[in-house]
This record gives sequence, structure tokens and C-alpha cells, in this order.
Amino acid sequence: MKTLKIFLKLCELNLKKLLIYRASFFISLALMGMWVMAYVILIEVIFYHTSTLAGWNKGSVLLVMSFYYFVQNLSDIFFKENFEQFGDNLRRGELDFNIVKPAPLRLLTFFREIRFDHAAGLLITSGLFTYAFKNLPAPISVNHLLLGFIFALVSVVLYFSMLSIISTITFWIQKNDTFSALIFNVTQLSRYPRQIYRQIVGKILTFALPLALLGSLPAEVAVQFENGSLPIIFIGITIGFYFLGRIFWEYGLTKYTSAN
Amino acid sequence: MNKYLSILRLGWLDAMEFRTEFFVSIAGWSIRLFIAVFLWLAVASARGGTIGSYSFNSILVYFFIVQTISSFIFSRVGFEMAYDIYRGDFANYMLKPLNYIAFRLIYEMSKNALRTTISAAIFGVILFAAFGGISLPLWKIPLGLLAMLGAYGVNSCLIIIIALSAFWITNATRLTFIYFGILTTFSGMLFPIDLFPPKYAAIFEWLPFPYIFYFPAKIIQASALTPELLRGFIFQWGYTLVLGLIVTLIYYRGIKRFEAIGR
Repeated sequence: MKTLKIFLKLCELNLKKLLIYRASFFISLALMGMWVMAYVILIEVIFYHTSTLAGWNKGSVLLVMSFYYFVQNLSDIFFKENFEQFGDNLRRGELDFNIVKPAPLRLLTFFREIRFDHAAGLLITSGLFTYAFKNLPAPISVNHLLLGFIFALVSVVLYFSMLSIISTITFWIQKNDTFSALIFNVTQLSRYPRQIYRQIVGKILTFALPLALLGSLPAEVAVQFENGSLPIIFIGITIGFYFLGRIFWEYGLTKYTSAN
Repeated sequence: MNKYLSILRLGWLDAMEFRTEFFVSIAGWSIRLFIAVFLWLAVASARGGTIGSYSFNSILVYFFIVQTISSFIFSRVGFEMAYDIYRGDFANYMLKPLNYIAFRLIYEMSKNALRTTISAAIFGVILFAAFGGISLPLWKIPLGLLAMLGAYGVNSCLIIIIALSAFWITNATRLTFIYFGILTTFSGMLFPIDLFPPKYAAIFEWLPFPYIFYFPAKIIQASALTPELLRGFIFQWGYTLVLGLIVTLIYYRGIKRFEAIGR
């Protein structure tokens, strides 16, 4: 309950910040619009040359991309920037100020900057969803779409846990200016249907490091793609990663020696 | 001249000092290449092995070359310059007997040279193991290097123009990210420009972006030096010259507006 109260307070403070820097919202809109356009053009070019991609039609591939961006939007709003700045904050000794506060340390570290201006991305993503629906061969049911969004929220938790594990490594390597670029590149593994990754690589990206599922699985649920018990396994993997991220963070913290 | 050689050395030492960060960045680039391999393998499989005028092997070689080029032209200069101006740190450089833009570019280039050498070695071994290497006659080496230098020039000028806007606006960093989005789409980084429908490809060839990735990759993959490739050089270096002049103009105008109160 106390954690929730602190989280809501952080939301309130960051919302006020958005009202001061209103232009950020429109810059985010342009930024997100540009990136979504880039990848929609890629899909258009691919489907200019072929009619299917790893068994998926154009509308379904766009739906995978829509869910991918939805997960990205939520992470951009709530925690991504904090992960990107973590290495820098660690080097400057700013973690010390959080350690002494009477609040969960991971919450203060990874949810301190909540970027409501990135909510602009949700507008672009909703446009992408509309474009994906138009390109689907048959309409999808509202119930399955809602289920897809629930799984997208599970993807957000999984993504947070994975970023937490990656960023905890910073306790050992100290300087990591390229961390944001690494996050950006790793995240791209989720942008396309998981079926493009074949054989052992596909299995690794589905079960061991399940990045291929972040956008793909919610889309599979929404279009009722036959995937057996994978949704249940996905929830299990997410719970596992969440606790692994927590334990690894606690261990990494014992290696922290402060920069002050 | 000696001071710029010292800067070159400093950049190199910086890259060597933080080795983990350096290899993390190479790992990041490799992930993108890894995705491209699987994505285009899926496309080629659906098309019976060819995509436009490319076989799967030739498109794979294209992406390996693009990745090596990106190791060389990737630039954080825009972020650093925008940050220097925004924070007022730029004032410190005004007092030093060096050209600020040259300082930033040389420092960055020496770091990138190390990254490119390692990337080329890694990707070269992979290409050799997969396809027995790529044909690289002697005439391609100087032309390939010239095309990469031109690509570095065009990309750096565009990034610096955006960074220098920090003299007029508060935060230019996010404009750089918008530029990256444009670059990704129209430079051949995500897919070769000639995979676009022909009417669009013809338009994009007039923009500066294809001369950053697509053109140098084409030079390295070409079987002969054609008039189209020679025309490409004229466009590439023409853009470098024009954009360089714009950078100089904006830089000196910006300096007149610059204020670093309290420093």
C-alpha cells in the first residue's frame, strides 16, 4: 500500500512537470511518428515483394508491431528513461540519495522520472492499430483484442524485469554510456513475429530470453493464432523473470561502493 | 596540427580504457544485424530465395557492409555538442586554441576507427566462413574508403546542423532522434533503397540520406565502376561540401547568440 502511495506521488509530481514543459508532448508525437513511419515503410516494402512473412499476412504483422509499440509506449512513460540514466546516476553517486530514503529502492530508482509526454506515442500507436485492423483479412473479436491487451501488460512486466537484470550489470562495469543504444537494439527483437526466428534461436528467444514474445504473443492471442499452452508458459516466464530481476538487483547492490 | 593528433590519441585511449562499454556497443550493433538476417531470411524463403534483384546471400552481405559502415559513421557528436551548448560548457572550448567542431569530430572519429576495425574483422571472419568472403579487388579499397569518408561527412554535417540548433532552442537532443528515424528509413540502413518501388527509389536518390549507407555499400558490392556510381560520388561529396558550408554559417551565427551566464 505504501509502495502504491509513493508511486502515485511520483506520478503526480511528473504530471506537474509535463504541464511546465508542454512542448515535450508534441516533440514526442513527432519523434514517435517518425519511428513508426520508418518501420511501417519497411513492412510495406517487404509486402511489396511478398504476400506472407513467416506465415503471417500484412495485417497480422502490423498488429504484432502495434502491440510492440504499445508495450514500448508504456515502458517509455513509466521506466525506460530511468534505466537509460542508471549508469550515469550510479557513477555520479546519486543512488546514495535514494538508498537513505524510506521507500523501496527499485521504485525510486526506476520510476523516478515518469515521462507523461511520451503518452503522445499512444496516439501514434492507436493510429497503427487502426491501420493494422484495416489490413487484416477478417475482423477480430473485441474479447480477443482485450485479452491481447492484457497479455501486452504482462509483456510490460516482463520487459521491466529484463531491463532490471541488464541494468544491474552496471554495478560491475561502472561506465555504460551505450546502455541506451543496447536497450534500443535488444528491444528490436520483439518488433516482428516470433516465427521469423528459426530453430534453436527461435526457442531461445521464446523460452530462455523471451524477447520475441513481447509483441508477438499479445497479437497471437488477439488473432487466435494456434499456439497451445504458450500464453500460460509466458505468464510463468514473466513471474520467473520478475523474481530473478529482484534477487539479482539485491545481489548487485551488495557490490555498490558509492561514488561519494 | 599536433594538438589534433593529441586529440586523436585521446579518443583512441578513451575507447581502449572503457573496453566493456566498447564491446557492449558492438554487441548492440550485432543484434540489429542478427535481426536483419532472420527477417530477410523469412522474406527470401517466402519468395523462393530472391528479394527484388537480391539473392539472400547478396542481401546478407549488404547488411554486413552496412553494419561495418555504421560502426564508422555512428556519431554521438550531436548529443555532446547540444549538451555543451545547453549546459554552457561550450564557453570552456571558446577559450581554447582549437576549432570546437574539429575537436569533437576528430575525438569521435578515432573512437569509431577502433570500433570499425574490430567490426570489420569480426564480420569479415563471419563472411569468409559463410560465403568464402566477398570479392574485393584493389580498385574497391580506395573507393570504398572514400565513400565511407563521404558518408561520415554527410552524416556528421546533418547531425551537427541539428546540434547547433541548441544555440536557438533549449534542447536539440530529441531532434537528433527524429533525424535518426529519417536516416533509418531513407539511407538504406533498414533495407536497400532499390527495394522500394522504382518511382520512389528514383526520388530518394536525390536526397542526401542514401549516400550515408546505401551508396558506400553499393560501391563495395559493385562488380565494376559504373557511371551511376561515379555520379554517386559527385552527389555525395557535393552534399558534404554544401552541408559543411551550412554548418560553418550556423556555427558562427550561433556563437554570436551564445550566452554562458555565471561561468
